Amino acid sequence: MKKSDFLDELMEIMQRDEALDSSDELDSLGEWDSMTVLGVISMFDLEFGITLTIDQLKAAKTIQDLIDLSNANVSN
Amino acid sequence: MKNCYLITGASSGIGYQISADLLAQGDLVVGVSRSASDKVRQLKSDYPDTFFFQEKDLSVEIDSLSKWVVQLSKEFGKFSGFVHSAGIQQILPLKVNTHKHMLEVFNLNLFAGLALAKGITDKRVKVENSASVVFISSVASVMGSPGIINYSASKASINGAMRSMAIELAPLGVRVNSVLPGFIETEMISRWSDVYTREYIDKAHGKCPLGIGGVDDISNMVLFLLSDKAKWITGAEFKVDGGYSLGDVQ
Repeated sequence: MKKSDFLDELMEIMQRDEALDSSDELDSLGEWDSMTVLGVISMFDLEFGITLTIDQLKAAKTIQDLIDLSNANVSN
Repeated sequence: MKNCYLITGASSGIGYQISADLLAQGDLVVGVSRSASDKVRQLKSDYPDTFFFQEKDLSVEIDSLSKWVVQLSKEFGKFSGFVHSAGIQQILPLKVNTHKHMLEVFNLNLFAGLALAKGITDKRVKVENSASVVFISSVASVMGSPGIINYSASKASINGAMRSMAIELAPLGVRVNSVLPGFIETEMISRWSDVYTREYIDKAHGKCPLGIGGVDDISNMVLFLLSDKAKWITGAEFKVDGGYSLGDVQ
């Protein structure tokens, strides 16, 4: 998946029109709530076949950290 | 201030009546149906500034429906509520049932409703801190009857989905409920006149302590659930059936 598609899908999960950047800090985004976290877990499972753990997501600070969790399934 | 509502199945029966009643109390309605009826054309004429009709087959491209609702809100404003009244009924015994028949019913009765609910509860679409979603289910979801297996299953599924949705969306201020109409005379019943003969209808009438109902009886309950008067009600099923589900009338 291209990075731009990943960011678009993340925007859809977060239900926001404003563009996201890989440097955005997750905690600074108002939409980063428990339902978004579940949505991201579901996206990784469906798109990449990766089962994320809550601990992995807790450790993620930025959107780039999420991309890094995709095991190179997200490319530029 | 006018509230804005999305109503499916707006061209006839319960959906039409809900649309007409909301418009009469001054609300704005975006009505959806597969095709416009004479009654819809009359509504457009009577309420040119507050009734907007969208011709759309909700049983196809279901994943696109939530994004379509986002577009609607950009055109018509934020929604205060959504009623999924669109539905189809089949009279089909189990021995001739197929996956295709099952999907026909579930696509419109359940899946389209879930996709539209996803769209309507998007924070870009709904009014802040509140919204009301009402699914038109059926007493067939809780009472068995021959020949309507797919229909009963789809309506029971609505009730199950409604309860989980009510819990998931409560933190957003969204209330979700379902209304279970009993036997009422609608165009859908008329279309099945070979099955719903006058004799059948008379028999059904005999099973309703309060007699067969009309679409206004269902609309009254739906308008209540959409309103702030129901602000503490979510995750509930409301039988509106003239007592039909209580058992045989003596």
